[in-house]
Amino acid sequence: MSLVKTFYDILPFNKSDDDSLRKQINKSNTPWKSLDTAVSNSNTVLELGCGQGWLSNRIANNYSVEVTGIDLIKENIDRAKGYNIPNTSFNQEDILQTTRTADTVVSIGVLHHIPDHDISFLLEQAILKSNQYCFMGLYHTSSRRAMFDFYDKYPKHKQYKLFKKMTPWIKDETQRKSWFRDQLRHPYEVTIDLSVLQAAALSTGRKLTWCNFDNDDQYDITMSKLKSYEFIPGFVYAMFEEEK
Amino acid sequence: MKFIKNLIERIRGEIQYRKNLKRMKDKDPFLYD
Repeated sequence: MSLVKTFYDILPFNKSDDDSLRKQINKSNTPWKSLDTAVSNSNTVLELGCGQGWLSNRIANNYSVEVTGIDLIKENIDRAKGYNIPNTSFNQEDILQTTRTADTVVSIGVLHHIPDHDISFLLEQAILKSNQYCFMGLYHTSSRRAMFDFYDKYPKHKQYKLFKKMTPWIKDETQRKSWFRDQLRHPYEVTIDLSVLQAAALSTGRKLTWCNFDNDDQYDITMSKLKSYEFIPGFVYAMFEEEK
Repeated sequence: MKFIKNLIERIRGEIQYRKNLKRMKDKDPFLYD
């Protein structure tokens, strides 16, 4: 874990010195309808690995909920607090240690970067922290493989230039660098197939109510988007719900 | 032959990229799928 913590201590993901994060917070919905529905039916939200707080702050900005974000990196917590959005609290905490729970638990792109623990175990633990809804974003095996295969066609020294072309919405080079190393130079990541999500639902007694993929064969579709320089890092998103 | 095939693929990708550029600049950056 210390390897990953050091990686983010050097440059936290999404660190930006311009107002791009503020723009993300000001958007009127989360990027996922499924999460918007969950949050609108909740009183409390917990984000595991909130980073610099764009999602927690955006949720608190748009819904009548109390949002708590936790993250291991102090700089992230300080930045997340700095937006001063009401009904938020941000705390430097290890997501493996926290005993917090909430109506909706959300975690995007975090659990697959935690070494020394089985991803299925981490997923189950996260799901069980939710009273009603748990929304997860994790790396998907075939989609992620397409992304690496696409970048491997280019020499390493040209990959950042390619990444820049594929991320035209990022204006700040520090932020772009933080995305690039997070996506392509990370010291640790695991990927999952849909069977991992289904098994987690079964073992926690929750229902898998939504997923952006209906099969694991995502290589070709991901590669075709990458070939037109669309940035597709290979995420699978899933919503787990407590059955009433 | 392979070179020509790759070149055509790159040109097609570039044309599609230019068509998508405005949408990519405006899209929610975290909507990855």
